Amino acid sequence: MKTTRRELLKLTGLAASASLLLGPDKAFARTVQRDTSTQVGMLVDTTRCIGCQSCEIACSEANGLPPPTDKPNAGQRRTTGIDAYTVVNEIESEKSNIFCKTQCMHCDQPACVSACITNAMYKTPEGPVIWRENKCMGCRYCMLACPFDVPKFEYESINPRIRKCILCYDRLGDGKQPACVEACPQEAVQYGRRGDLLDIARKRIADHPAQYVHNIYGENEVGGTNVLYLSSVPFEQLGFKTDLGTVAYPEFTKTFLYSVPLVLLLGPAFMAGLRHATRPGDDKSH
Amino acid sequence: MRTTAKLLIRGFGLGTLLVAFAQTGMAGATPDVVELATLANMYKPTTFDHAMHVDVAACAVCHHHTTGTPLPADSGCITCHGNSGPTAEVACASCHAANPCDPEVRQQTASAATIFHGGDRTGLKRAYHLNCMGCHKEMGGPTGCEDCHPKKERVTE
Repeated sequence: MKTTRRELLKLTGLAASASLLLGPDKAFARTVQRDTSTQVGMLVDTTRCIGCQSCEIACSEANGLPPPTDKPNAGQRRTTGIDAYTVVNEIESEKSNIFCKTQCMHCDQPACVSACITNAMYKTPEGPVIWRENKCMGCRYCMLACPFDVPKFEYESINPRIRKCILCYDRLGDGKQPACVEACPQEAVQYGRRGDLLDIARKRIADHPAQYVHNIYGENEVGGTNVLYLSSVPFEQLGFKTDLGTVAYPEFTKTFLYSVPLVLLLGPAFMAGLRHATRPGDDKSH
Repeated sequence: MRTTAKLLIRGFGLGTLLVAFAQTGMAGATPDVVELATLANMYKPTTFDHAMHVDVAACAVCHHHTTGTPLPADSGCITCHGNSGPTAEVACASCHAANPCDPEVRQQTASAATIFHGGDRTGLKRAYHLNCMGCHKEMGGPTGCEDCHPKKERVTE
């Protein structure tokens, strides 16, 4: 079919505008804002923690794990493991050493959930990020994706599982609280709706402005996490990464991933149309 | 009168007497010993020697303004409660929630004006530990966990 240059330009323009109408919402990266205030989470106030490890003991009991074998030690950074979903670290500081509890951050838009091929890592509507054993295939993409280095793999086991804090999700339905929250004698770790916890954290900062850094870690980091932290010293000193940005990790790959179907659909169609429009009149083959 | 009726009347009468006797211990008089058993998940209940502490500290050190005798130094309460009389309930647990993180409790304390207000309400366990151990550290009292409450027999799965 012979065509004029004008026809070709019309066709191209039409195709391009059609794809734009279908495309941009999904194709371009944008941190999705949504209301996280009703999700449950935890508030960890590092000025209150005394390093008693009651949280670690309670967590190990609630999850059938062995009790902690070592204590917080300023010279050594303890990490969570397959037998310890939460650990307390001691950090040296001028006045008195600070104790900081670490565990899964239960992000609002978790990198692990986005990376998980089988949907084993799952963001529950209530808030906690859980791992579903019946779906996991052991690829450990979640471990690669997590900016906080949380999921741990049972390398020595013949049926290895991913292990991490699930915010006692199985207990929450019975109206109970996470075991660590129940155990803490100083209320260093509190539980509640994220909106309420943010209010409490802000009020605490407002009431004691000299005692706290005026920032709640987890409020905006990686798009917001459900575990929030308060500190009297800059968060880097406690071992937190402060260069993670506020864009949720899944957003970094959405641009590429979401445009794949669009490209696969429109690309060939466009190419075919172009070929059809530009072949010489006497060439009957397509 | 029928036996059932007699039984009921006697039972009721006895019950009233028992309650009345129990009340005389509470109303106005300070208890000698208080069993703190509201929170007992990892440790056994504490037997608190109230009589001894009455000699050692002013009421307001622990009861803030609820006994009607607030300390001048207790600036958090004094501005409003400087002239408040004693309250009906002076037990720690009446103002400091045993389960502060429970959503229902949080709802209640948020709207209740009679429970300790201040937004960031300290729960019972924290209140005990802060107040008791704070003073013990200064005065040389027991500060170890099991000094006040022995460990519970753990049920291992």
